[in-house]
Amino acid sequence: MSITIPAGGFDVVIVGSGISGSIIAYQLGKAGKQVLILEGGPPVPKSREDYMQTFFTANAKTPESPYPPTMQGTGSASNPLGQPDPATLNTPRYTVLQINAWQNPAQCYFVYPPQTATRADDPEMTFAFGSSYERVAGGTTWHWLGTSLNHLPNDFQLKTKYGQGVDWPGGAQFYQSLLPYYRKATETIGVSSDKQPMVDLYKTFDVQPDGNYGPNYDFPMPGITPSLNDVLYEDKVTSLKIDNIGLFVTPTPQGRNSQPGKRRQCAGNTNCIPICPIQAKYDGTVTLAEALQTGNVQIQYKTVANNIRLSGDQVSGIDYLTYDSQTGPSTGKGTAVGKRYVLAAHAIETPKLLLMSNGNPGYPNGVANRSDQVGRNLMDHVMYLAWGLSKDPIYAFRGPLSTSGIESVRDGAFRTQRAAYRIEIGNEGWNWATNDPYTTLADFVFGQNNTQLNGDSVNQQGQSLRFDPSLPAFSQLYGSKLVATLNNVYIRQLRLGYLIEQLPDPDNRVQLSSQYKDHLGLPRPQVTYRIRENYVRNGFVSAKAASTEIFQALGATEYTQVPATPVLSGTSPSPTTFQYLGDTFTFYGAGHIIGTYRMGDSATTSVLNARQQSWDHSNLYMVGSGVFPTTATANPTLTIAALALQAADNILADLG
Amino acid sequence: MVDYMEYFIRLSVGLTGFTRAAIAPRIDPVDIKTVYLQVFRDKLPNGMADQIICEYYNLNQAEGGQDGNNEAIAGALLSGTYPAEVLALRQLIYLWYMGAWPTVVSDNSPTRGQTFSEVISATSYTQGLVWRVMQSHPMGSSNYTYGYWATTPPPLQDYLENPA
Repeated sequence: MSITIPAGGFDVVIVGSGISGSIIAYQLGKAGKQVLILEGGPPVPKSREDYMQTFFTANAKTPESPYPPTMQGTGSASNPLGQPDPATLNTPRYTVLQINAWQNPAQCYFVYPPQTATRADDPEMTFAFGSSYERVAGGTTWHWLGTSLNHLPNDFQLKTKYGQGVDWPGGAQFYQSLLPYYRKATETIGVSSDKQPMVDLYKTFDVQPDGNYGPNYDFPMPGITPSLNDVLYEDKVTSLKIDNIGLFVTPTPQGRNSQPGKRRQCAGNTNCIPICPIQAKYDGTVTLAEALQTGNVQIQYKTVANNIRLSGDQVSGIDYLTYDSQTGPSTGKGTAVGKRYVLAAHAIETPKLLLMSNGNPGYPNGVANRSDQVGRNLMDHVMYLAWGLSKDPIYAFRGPLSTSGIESVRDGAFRTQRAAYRIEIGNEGWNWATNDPYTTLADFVFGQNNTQLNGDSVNQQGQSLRFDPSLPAFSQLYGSKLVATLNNVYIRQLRLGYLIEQLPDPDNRVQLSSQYKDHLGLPRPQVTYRIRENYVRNGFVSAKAASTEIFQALGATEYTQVPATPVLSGTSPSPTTFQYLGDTFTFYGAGHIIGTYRMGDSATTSVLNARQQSWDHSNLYMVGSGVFPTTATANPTLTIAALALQAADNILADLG
Repeated sequence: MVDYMEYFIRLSVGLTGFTRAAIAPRIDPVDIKTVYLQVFRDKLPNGMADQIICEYYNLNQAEGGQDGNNEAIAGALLSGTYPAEVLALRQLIYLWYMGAWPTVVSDNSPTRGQTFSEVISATSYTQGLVWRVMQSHPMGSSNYTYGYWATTPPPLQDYLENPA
């Protein structure tokens, strides 16, 4: 599609059409402003069936599996998954499949420094980053889960209250200023939640009044029905405390329809990640369509921003390259010009663009980087997974992937010592934990024991894990015995996920690789990632102990696998396993890429001010989870949306 | 002349534990069985697939040739002495359950090895019996309606006796 430059030029140029970019485009377009979006990836397909077919035929159903560019091809001995060389792709991105190939730049888009630690308990040990993102129209919300919680007031004043990390600008006041935008964000996304459970939850954090969004508020839609699995936890966990905080289950506010409306009602496809087949779950394409329908927003696809031009200290244009096919040559270049500029390209590509823009006089370290904070403080919610089998059937693999969580332990006095977490209750059995249903099936068909169900495994409580004591180890089943065994396993599978907060570490950072490029000739991200603080590692210790107690309270048998001792040398060192206080932990990514262009109170320690405006260039804004000073304790998307709505107001105020 | 499809069906019923109505429904617009017989033939060397089906036929004939007793006959084949055939039979079980052809890497590690697999098609993924043995639906393809996850599913037998 060709772009028509409006008579007065564009008011705003936005890089990226995910949830943040689309929200800003819609808010500005609604207000009559002329907006141009540059999107690096392809347009939204005419039918999501295109993406569904790619998902159905993918051998590994990872979060990225439905989306272009395809990450799996014909395997070979050195490349079993057939992963393409990122150097051959115009918009490569990091994927979960690349984690195990983290030290191999011929398969992994991110370039990692070699492992220099020699002990698995060395805090200086480096890891593969656990989370991935998309470069397509609509962005990474294509494969978000839908969890729509807001952060807690104390999340915004972690330093003041607990002496950890940093505060958000203004501390607890930040929460107050964000409340109306949180409220608006629930409407933008279309959050389904009952009000009372939120009121009950927030009371425990001394948050008044009327729940968390002020008086007379109710969510756009009633809460999503909890699963049978949730009911088991609801009944049993209230007997437990963690660090003197009582546990209780809270139904999760979710960005998916509990009623038919503008989108279809959730049909429980159990596939929110990687793709909702019926768009009952919100994704960025919803707001992108609304933005385009204003008539004031235009978008140019397959357009990769590669340089930000400055004139003095103002941004004067964004250079881009275009392409047609993923492996074809660049087809052109240009410069997009507007009065204001917004970077909304997620927390890896945004700092990469800023750092690439290093040819402007006075800004040798890149645009908006006088503080030297661009690309630093990369964070995720590092996840601890625990899984087990319930005594009675709870019928896993049904409903949305998660419908409830344990939120009551997200804040407390313990935060002077250890990271907080929320506990997500999974409905998808061991799909995430062991790659089920594949693994259990293979174990009982071929006589393997990768699930610990079919061998001599014993868990850490000394319980034998062989599922059927009447069978020998490594049984190979068929027929009715196979049916009965598989059924009895699958319908009992439980999974807990702990979203452990990570602290900002200036050395956890995105830089430009000096050696490796993508097919457009742009440098690839070089990523250094550690978990240095005992504060965060203590979160794992707590999560592990809590899981064991919860499964005991449920009368369930714990199957959480103790990871193999991490390998630090050789060609494939362990990507995400470390040792701490005598235990071995594997962490997983939550999909939350946070912190690489943070907000703050001071131009010397942050990239953006509280308006999400660059300290260095007043006509440049940045949005998305990259602005977060800390991870806080909620999944980030509702906060991302709220902050984008707030930034849109700030830009409108600027434009007058 | 052996009716290969007929005995492939009987073999598949015996191996999977599902009924003939689920494996080869009378009205079968999806016809995944034809796809799987072709995969079974293509993936195995030297006509091994037809050889296995003939062995099933012979054992079945020895009992009078009725369609029944499938599980016992499948069990007899599985306790055979030719490892490549036994593995092929197990691969066929996996194919029916997962809609994917497995590659089994065996070793002496505590897990006894790993299994990798290749999805045959979008249809084979959604036709996988594994989703039915768990009394659910393929992830990403639900014919249920809102809120079903708060109630107990129909009994397992319903899933074993009906096509996907």
